[in-house]
Amino acid sequence: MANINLAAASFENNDHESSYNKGLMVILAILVILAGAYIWIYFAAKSAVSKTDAAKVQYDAEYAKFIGGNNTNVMDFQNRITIAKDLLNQKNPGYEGLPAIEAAMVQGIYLKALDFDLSKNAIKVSGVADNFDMMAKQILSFKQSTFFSGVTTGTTNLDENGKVNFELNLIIK
Amino acid sequence: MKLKILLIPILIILIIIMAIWVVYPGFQDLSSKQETLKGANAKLAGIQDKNKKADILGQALIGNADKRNTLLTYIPDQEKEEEIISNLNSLANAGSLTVFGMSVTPVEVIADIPATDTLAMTVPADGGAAAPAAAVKPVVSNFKVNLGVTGTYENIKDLSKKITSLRRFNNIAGLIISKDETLKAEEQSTSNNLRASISLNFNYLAKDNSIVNIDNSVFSEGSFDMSIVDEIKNKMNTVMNSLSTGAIGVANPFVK
Repeated sequence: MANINLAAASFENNDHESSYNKGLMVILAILVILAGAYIWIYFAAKSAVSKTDAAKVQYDAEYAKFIGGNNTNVMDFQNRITIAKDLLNQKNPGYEGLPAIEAAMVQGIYLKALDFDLSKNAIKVSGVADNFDMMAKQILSFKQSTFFSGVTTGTTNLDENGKVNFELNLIIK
Repeated sequence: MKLKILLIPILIILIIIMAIWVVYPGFQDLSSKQETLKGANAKLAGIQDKNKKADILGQALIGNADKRNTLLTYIPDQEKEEEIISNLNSLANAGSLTVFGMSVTPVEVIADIPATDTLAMTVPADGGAAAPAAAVKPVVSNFKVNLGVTGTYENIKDLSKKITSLRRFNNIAGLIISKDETLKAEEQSTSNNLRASISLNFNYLAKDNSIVNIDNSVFSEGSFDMSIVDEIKNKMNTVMNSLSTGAIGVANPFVK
């Protein structure tokens, strides 16, 4: 009669049962951890939302304080500073043109009129010279001036006394 | 027994489902909400800091009333053409010139200041998400004053110089100097009696109480650059005199 070892099979069954239970425990533990994590996330998100809302409410209060009160005066003063910086550095050749013309005048010639125009950045002068040679010297002198970038000659004629009446357009640099 | 065999795979599937469709999206949502909170806190801290600096700036304005007045004289908040007329007349008279005419032409509005420094802010609709509104430029109003004088070249030149250095911004837009056309040629060559028409650009900046730019650098820096005021005082030597009416009130406006 052959001997059958039933005890060994029973041992293997117990071992299998134990592994199954351990695996089940691990899986259940993971499930519990996941559920716990989800609950934590839920409350953390809720807390973040309420804190954000509180921060926004506080921001509104701070913003209302910012746009009210004395800040309009601060802004106004700052605007004036910004504009003044721009304006103070603007070139103003209206006056500066006069000393420049004086310095470039050929002796013996005199002006009858001058017309400074800021929009054209130019000065138109009407002068009287004894002759055309002097008028030419005057044109050269204006051309050599560092204040002007160009000279164009306008109408020229002789008056009843034989003097040369001329017009020049001086472009300011 | 069959149920026992299926339990573990079912639970594993449940874990996967929970992780992918419940916990992970929840975590992503939390991250996004925490980012929003971080942003809201940063904005709050920013505006709190700006409010503190704005208080300092407000105190600086009170403490520097003289400098504020200098700047308000250079770029006034109103046209104040009467002050210009009075000052130009005084300068011409002091310079031995005769004023034969003076006029103020209608205001022409110009806006030439960079918009980046002057954005207005809209009131945040969503409570905290303040955003720059459309660019609002401070509007500088420009107007012309024409002055006619007679006198010598030296005096006209001196007047032009003094006007250029007035402590109120202006620039000479036009200057016409001419001799008396009725004089004979011989007299014209030696005559120093001239007639001048000076066209001047003046401006002012009306105060706008509705504009407060939260992004203006002054609220981050917490101080004004007052050097411009010293520069005005150094470069502009002709003081603007204020004007008072003197005695007023008469019984008959048609009799002196």
